[in-house]
Amino acid sequence: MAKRVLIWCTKVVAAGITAFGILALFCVFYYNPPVHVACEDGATCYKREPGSFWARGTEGFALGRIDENGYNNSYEAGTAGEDKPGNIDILMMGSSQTEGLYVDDDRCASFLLNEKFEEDGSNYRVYNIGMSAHNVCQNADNLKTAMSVYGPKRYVAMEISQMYCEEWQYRAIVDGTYEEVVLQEYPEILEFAQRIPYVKLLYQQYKNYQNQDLMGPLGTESENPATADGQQWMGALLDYMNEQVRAQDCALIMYYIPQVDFDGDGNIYFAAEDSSRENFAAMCQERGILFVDMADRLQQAYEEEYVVGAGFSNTTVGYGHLNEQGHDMLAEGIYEAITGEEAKP
Amino acid sequence: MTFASVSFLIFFALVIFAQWLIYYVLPLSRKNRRNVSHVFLWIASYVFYGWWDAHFLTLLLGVTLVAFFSAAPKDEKRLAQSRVRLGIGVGVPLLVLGVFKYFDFFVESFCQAFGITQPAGLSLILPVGISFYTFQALSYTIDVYQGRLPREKSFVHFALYISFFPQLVAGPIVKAADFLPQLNEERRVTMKRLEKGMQIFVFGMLKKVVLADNLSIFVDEVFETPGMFSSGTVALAVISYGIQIYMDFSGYSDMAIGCAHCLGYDLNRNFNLPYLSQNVSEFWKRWHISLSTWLQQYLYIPLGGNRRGRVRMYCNLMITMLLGGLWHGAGWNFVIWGGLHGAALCVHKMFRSSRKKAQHDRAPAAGENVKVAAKETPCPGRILCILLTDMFVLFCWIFFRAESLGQAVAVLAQLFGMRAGVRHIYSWSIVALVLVAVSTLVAVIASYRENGQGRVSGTVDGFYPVLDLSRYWSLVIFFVEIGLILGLAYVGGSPFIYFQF
Repeated sequence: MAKRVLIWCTKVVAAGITAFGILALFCVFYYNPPVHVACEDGATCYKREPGSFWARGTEGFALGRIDENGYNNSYEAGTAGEDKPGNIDILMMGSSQTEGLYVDDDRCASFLLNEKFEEDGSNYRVYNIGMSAHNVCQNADNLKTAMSVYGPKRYVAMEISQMYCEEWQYRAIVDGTYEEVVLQEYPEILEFAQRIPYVKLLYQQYKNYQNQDLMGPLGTESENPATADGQQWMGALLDYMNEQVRAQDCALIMYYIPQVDFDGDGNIYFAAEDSSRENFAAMCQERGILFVDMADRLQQAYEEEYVVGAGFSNTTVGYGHLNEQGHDMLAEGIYEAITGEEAKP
Repeated sequence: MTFASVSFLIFFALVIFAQWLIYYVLPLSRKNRRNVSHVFLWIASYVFYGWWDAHFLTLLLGVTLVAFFSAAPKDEKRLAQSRVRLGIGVGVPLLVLGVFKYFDFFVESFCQAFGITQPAGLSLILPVGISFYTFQALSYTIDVYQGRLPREKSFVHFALYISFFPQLVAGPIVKAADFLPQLNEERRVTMKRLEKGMQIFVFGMLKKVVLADNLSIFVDEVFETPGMFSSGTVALAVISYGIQIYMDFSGYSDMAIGCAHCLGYDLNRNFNLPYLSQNVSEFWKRWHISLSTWLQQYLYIPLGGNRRGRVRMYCNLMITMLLGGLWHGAGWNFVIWGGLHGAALCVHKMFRSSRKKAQHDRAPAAGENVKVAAKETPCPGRILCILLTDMFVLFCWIFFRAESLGQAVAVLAQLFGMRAGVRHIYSWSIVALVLVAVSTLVAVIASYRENGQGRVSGTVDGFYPVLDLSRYWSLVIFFVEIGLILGLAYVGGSPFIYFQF
């Protein structure tokens, strides 16, 4: 009896290990976001593990590879070393939206921009250092370092998802005391465990379970108490960023990627009200900053062709990150802004 | 505490452990340990129910007491007294159900119909599972009255029958004749039962938390704003709902059956591949079997069934299905849903009788062969029948799912209007369709093999994929199944659809 129980227990353990291996293998192609590692040069608060393969099937289905610097850039320049620091024309900074790990690496906006500039013969090289959880304040704080590391020659394109800034944020950025997003330090065993895709999936499930009430409908910016004079501080932040960018003979492009939602009648709406976006556009114009409003493009695409630029086949329509159409629109928007600017006499 | 929650898993593990202690560790006589086990399960069931809202325990206990003490066999000598007892036994549970579930609905409908200003409703919270346990209480009272079942002497047995936690809140509706005899037998937790029961439970959980819940995201979205989506997408959402409600409810039933099996009790299957039905009559023999047999036995047959002429039979069918629809919820959309099914059942009965008549007219001497010929519809014809039945059932689900008649109309307008809109091919719908197709094919092949006569049997039956967990690869498959549930489950919280009924 005892022997039979022992044999069965051994089978259970062995079967458990085999099943875990099968699930891990499945997750290599289903949910395998690249792990974050420290970014020593400070261009971003952290970066992805250089050279790692990634896959995502929980929000869209996408595959790709991280470049040797730890960012999502798979576009191969015509000449070896052409897309290395120092040969970059346009530097893109932003959050996970810009990073583009929710579409195949050859369908994200930075890749599409590279294609467009190669097609039109200008051959501008676009380099994407978008990183998850990096909002505009975080990127403004890293801007100076990022520019010195990657040395863009023409433009810095920066994502914005909220159109206000609070005083303390502005002051901390200017003083250089803005708190960096730090990588959480785990014990060695957990460091190892997060490299197993299935463990990452379970952890993600756990986090989703904890945050399940956070996915309510969008509020509007006017509900935020910071909005009243938040725009004024945003203006100051724009001045600060513009100064940094112009110091290296580049121009600043701000692109607004809103969160998309729909009302009960199926009308599209965004977190920022039209007036906020108009004010922000005016602020950019005053300062000679190019502004790409993705809200307009998303609205137009939806109302004319029923195309929604955010959300995936395995999420609700409009939920979460930009999809392939959204990245197309973003690339088109930035491309038009740049070519329009350069066509000016 | 739903089956798909951590709290339930802990609760269930404790119940299993306690049952094991009672049967294998505590020094009790055979009779005593059975009694202790029943009392423990009764208390555990009340804890399980009280987890939602302890106030409703009084309601559950009240219905139990009324049904237990009012049940009595029909006594021809004291007919009036018997009828009063039956009236109490049937009336009180129905009154409770009516007040909690239908009072506001009827007052609202009455006021709307006669243009009266609507008084404030009772706005009572619907106690979870009330439709299920009142029906169980009713079946016992009626069975005892009609002499189909002896009066239960033990109150604990009866209270456990009404409140047995695996099936308390969302069925299957267990008949007293099926459950009470099990309480007189030695039913205990064994390794064999645990092995099978756990696999059925996990199988049900996979259907519920992975497939049904992930489908609910898409279905909810489309039904909320149907005008936003293209006709094709709305059609996909309707199909998805058909799969969602099947996975949700049959998943719950599987979990209930699995739990009960682990504890040593057997509950009948509640679903048997309903989307393989060739007509609506067959659909109701395969869908929510416990409810359809209940309605047949305690409503359709007492109304006269098919014994009082054709017109009466059609009326009885309509009444049964309209009330069956209303049982699901206090809303006109449920009444329409029931009415559509009732009408389809009538049409099917008419069609069947006219077909039989035509076959008899053609071959009056053939006798028995007519029956055989009628059964053997060629395969393409059978597939066509299945598709048409499924299309009808899916059409009816629109009324069932819609939160109001207006919403149902909006969905129908978008569906049949061939309108443009957002095209959203939801990947979980495709996954679910593929899985349903594959599992159907497996069931058909299994039926083909079982038949062994080179043709698929007229009735394809579903089965639980129960593996022998003493084998290495069976264990691997079982663990992978659990791993997939953990990894792919929708964790946003989606209650079982049938809890609201």
